[in-house]
Amino acid sequence: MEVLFLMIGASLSLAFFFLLAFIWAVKSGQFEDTYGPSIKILFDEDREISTQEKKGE
Amino acid sequence: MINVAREAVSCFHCGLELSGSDALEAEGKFFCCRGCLQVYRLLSQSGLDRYYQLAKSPGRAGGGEDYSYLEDKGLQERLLSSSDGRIAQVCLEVPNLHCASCVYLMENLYRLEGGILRTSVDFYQKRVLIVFERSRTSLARVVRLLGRLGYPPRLNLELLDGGEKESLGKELEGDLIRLAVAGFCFGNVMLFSFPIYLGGESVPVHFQRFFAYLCCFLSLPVLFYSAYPWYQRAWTYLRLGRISLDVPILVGLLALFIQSSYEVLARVGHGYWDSLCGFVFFLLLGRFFQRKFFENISFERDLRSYFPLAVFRQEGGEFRITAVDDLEEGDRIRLRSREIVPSDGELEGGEALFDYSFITGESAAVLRRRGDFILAGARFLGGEGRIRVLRSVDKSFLLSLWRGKVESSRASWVDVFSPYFVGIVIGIGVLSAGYWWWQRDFEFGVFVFFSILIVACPCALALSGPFTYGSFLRLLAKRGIFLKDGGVLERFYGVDAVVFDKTGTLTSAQLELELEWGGLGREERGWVLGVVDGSSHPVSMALGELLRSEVGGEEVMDFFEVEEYPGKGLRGRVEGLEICVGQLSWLSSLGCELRGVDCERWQSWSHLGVCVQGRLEAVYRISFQLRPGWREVLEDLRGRGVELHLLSGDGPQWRHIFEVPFEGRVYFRQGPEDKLDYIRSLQLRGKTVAMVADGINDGPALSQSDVSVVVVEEKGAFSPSGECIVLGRYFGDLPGLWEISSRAMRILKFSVGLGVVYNVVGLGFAVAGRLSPVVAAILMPLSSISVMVFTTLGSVWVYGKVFSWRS
Repeated sequence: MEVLFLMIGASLSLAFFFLLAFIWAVKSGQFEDTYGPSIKILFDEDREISTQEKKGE
Repeated sequence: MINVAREAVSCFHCGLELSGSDALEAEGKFFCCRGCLQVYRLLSQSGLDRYYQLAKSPGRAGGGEDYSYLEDKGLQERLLSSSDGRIAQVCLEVPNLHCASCVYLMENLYRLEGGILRTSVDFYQKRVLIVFERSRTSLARVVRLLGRLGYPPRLNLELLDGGEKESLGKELEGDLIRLAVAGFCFGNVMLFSFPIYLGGESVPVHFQRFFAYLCCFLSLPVLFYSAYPWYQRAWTYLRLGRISLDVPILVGLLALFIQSSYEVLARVGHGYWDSLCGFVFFLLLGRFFQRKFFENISFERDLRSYFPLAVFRQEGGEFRITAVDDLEEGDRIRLRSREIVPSDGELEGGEALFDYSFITGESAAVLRRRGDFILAGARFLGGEGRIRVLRSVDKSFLLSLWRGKVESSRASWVDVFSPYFVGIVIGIGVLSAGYWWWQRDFEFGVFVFFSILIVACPCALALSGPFTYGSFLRLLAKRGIFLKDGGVLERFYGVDAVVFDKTGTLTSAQLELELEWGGLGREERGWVLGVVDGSSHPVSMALGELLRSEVGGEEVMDFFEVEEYPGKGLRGRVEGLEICVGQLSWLSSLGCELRGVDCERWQSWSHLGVCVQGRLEAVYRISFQLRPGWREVLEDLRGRGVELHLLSGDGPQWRHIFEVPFEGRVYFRQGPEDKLDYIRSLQLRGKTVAMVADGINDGPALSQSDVSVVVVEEKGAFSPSGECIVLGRYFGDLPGLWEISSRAMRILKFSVGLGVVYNVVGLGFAVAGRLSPVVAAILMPLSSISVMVFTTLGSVWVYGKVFSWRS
């Protein structure tokens, strides 16, 4: 039963890591604009193509 | 094809409906004007056709404002931020962003202008960050591109301040992290409390202690970090000598902490950690719920967003662009059409026309002559715009009218009754503790005392306000009514006197023209349009719009030799014909044949005549457009027993319209101080006053009133500080606020009652000394959740009821 100490420690650490990840996400401004990203995923990824075209010029 | 041309079609770019014969056709699509067609061409040539697929008719016609002043190096230094001199970035406010297509276009700007490296859009703030290479393009070109696409950026003095809008974002950040920490700890503490609740004494002692310490440890960040806003708020109010609701909240939190710590350290129990964490978590949820996610609305507009960025200043022999901030006394500036006068000054040129409607409320354009004093904030309309600066921007009279922030230290109803709450709870606590001390022992007495403080924790009370008003704020925002906070909504139903401003509030900013005599043929309309287009006088623009709507599309006319005579009219030649538009008396002085029209009857700016080749062809009557539904709004308020008053900075020309609805309480030529004094006198009579206004001249009065309502035409527009901002087209919904306010109060009271029921039940347990952690852990979330659900559902239901029979 003593293994519980280890298990709880491990799971808490994992959860804590996710908390840190969330804090990082907030601080890096990912929650600032909630509408824009929802549209941007609909756009085509032709940025790669056009920069390649430009390089080719 | 002939049949199609006669049908109604809509512009592919902007969606305007027009008849097929008026539309421009290209590539099988119809366009209403050259502006729209040009943008379409630009986009399709660059492969950005997706613009039209992402939203319906997303476009606006491109504009051609003169942005050459942005080429000035000094100005650029102040507007751009650049890390290495090669690459620069600028953050611009683009009010026209409204849909997915707009975002698409902004993100793809780099395809339209080489040199733009990337753009990033913040939709809610309506801002675009553009990063570009200075060697390949410039700020002026970028701004011009935006203008041509139909997304002109707002360029005003506020831009020079940069980075101060960040504070909104920082607050949200802080709250989110606090919520995350509270949620993390709450969840884990609940989890680690279960073994003890479920297993009780059968759990091995070392685990019991382990869990207890773990919960204690996890609760610390919640108590000290997540709950911090409440410490702040309680202290702010205590300094003002008031006990707000935060005090009982903190009392409860501290009681929880002390009791729990004691139990764990003295090994007599496990503590109430889950109640502590849960309480803070719910409080934070409530705070979050109240948060406004309003697009681009500011309740505290800085005057700097009203002033222009730069102006032409005379330096040496020529005029050079200077930031308005740098103007000094004695400088000479030259204004362009429709520019706002940036500082108090003296007119140096000949005659010039100014629009003072936003500053003093006078709706008619005012003619000024050489040597006259010009107030900062007036809009220059035409004539000779050379002004000698008398005071720098910061010292202008405008600022003295401006009372920036509205004090929001007004207590909510819930706050008012918290001192009693604290008193009653402590009273019961002391009495019960004393009883048990006598009956059993001191320790039990203390335990009972703390139990009472814990259970009386005003969780339900603290949540009632945020959730009730939070819902309403959100729902009203969809309706074009934006409130600063719940307290504002609460105050509406106590208002028994409303003071209205006239210009811009009851009347929209638009002038209305009606044909009163004669008429113009189709060709003639086109010619007159050509002449009128060159002028930026409000009357010319109104005539231009009227003619354009009759003609149905933009007829691009070559106009040359258009002369503007300030205060009198316009004269120009189109296709060899002389066209004159203006006051009838002026037209007759030019020698136009008036054909029997009596220019004595129709004088001044109430009527406008149009002469073609010396012959009067048409006379239009000018009037202000009253907001639709204004009469109903007044009647509704009167029906509620609200006293109505009208204070206008304008003259009494339209008195007869307002006499009856306002029951005679109409006053004209009111300056800012007059309005302020009037509101004060009403308050001295014991009235709770709401002021509905729109201009800077109303600033002091708005601050003085108990509730300030500001009417704006568009969300991003500048407005004086107000607690409630209403979009012009939703003006008719104003009375609904009174209804909602009174019903919201009912919901709030009911919800508080619900909380009291829980408190009484809990107190029963506490006084009997039976408040175990399990009981507390069940009662608290139960009361919180039922309050949240009840208030949210109640507010949605009330909102539906109030506004369903309105629309």
